[in-house]
Amino acid sequence: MIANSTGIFTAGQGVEDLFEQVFKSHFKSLHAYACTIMRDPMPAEEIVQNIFLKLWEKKGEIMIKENISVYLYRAVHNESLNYLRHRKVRSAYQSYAMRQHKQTEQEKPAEKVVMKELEKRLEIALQELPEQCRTIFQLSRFEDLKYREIADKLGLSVKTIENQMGKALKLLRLKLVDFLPTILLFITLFK
Amino acid sequence: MTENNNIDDLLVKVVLGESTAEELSFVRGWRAESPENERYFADFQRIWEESRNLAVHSTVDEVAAWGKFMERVGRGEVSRGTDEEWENRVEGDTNLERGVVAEIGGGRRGQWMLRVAAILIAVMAGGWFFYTYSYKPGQFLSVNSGLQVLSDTLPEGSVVTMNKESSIRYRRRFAGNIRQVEMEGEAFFAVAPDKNKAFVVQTNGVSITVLGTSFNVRAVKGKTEVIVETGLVEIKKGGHVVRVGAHEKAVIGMDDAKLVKEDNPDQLYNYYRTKTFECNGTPMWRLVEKLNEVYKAHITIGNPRLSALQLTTTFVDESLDGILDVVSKTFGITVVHNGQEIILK
Repeated sequence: MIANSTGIFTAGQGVEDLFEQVFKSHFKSLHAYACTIMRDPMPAEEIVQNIFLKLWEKKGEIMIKENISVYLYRAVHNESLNYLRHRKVRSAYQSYAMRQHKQTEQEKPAEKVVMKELEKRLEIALQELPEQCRTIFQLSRFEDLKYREIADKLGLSVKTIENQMGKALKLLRLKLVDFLPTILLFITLFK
Repeated sequence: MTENNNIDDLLVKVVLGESTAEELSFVRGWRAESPENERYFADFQRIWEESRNLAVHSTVDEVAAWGKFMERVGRGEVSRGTDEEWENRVEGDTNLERGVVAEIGGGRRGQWMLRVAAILIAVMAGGWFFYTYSYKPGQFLSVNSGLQVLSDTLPEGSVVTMNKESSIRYRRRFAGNIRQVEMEGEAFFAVAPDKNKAFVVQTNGVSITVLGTSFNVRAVKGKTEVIVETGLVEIKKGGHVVRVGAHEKAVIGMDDAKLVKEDNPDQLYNYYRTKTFECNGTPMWRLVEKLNEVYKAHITIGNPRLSALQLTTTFVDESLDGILDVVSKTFGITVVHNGQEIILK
């Protein structure tokens, strides 16, 4: 299967070394990505592990026709959303346990930070971004990568990153516009 | 407002500090054109700032993850399919069973139908059960002790005794070479020995690794206190590691960078588990501190001279009044009750 960072495929000897390299250089950021979607680090890790396992099973077959980072981020995105979808249909006990967990995860009793309405909305809106848009936003916002770095990582042009970031912020704004406090300010000023 | 199609891209570039000086001054001009423009830009800024709060920083170690991965590969573990694949598989099994049922049930039609129905339901329930228990990676169990001290035996035999208002969370089945338990509050762990599977307790960003030992963890208000009863544990936080042996303890604050261990002076930490106050040359201030915690009392030492007095005795399942009675008789101390407050003089 394996692709190096520029998207060239190799097979046979050295594939396993390359695999290890790809695994180690991507695991942490993929895990962070899964965590931002799932808000639960342990299943998030399981999902990333499983994606690599699938990839491992396909060793020797050339199957990725694109940049390996793009493939991995997409896989994490899709699997994480699948996981969330399934979580919804689980039994009452499960959702109860999850709630318990969410409480302990997010609202540590010591800090008891109540998630603000805007933050909640933002999380939902982020979830609804198209996959590529979301991945790029993720890399820019949560991994603090520059446009250039994102472009290199995903094998895309800087122009595309610019467009996607513009699109991301525009979409987020459309979904959040009712919750942005500046709007109140605007109305009071001009009424 | 968006006369320029690329204005969104430009605004975002400015918010992110990716713009050229030229673009920056263009955006400045655009913003000044109307309050609407200014607001539009402010919205972008706000969303960008706000979204930072949603960041998750992975604490996973990629080398450890790789080790885990290689182990799975070594065991010949097969990846789970996607949902669709999986559901097809479960359905396929059901069809298979249906075929078998048709062969067995050659009898009267009504009974046959009934049997088919019963077996189908059983198979579907079984499929669901199998699905929920073996497919989902995040099969977690949360145990909360609520208002009582609670003992729980983990799947692999370790026993956790939780103090009141504490909780632990773990996998129904421990996978890989690690037995991981997350906790809050206070708990005592008697870990079943297994050299191949490290037992890891995580709390307050501190991770405590053992191979088979017993130790107490108290994680309250961001402070983590680990007292080891037997064996040896390894405590990690950030890049720092400290090994704590029997009768030693380590206290780690939320902001502590360094990990320091010290001798553990007493057995009072055990109270919630053993219902025993074991005082062995224990100073009065320490006993009072513990009594206040256990009984939610408000005891103060009214006379500084008393603070250093040392007590050696054992109270088993004794009431607060009983303990204070012994203390007052031993040292000739007067116990004054003042509403909620108890003063030792």
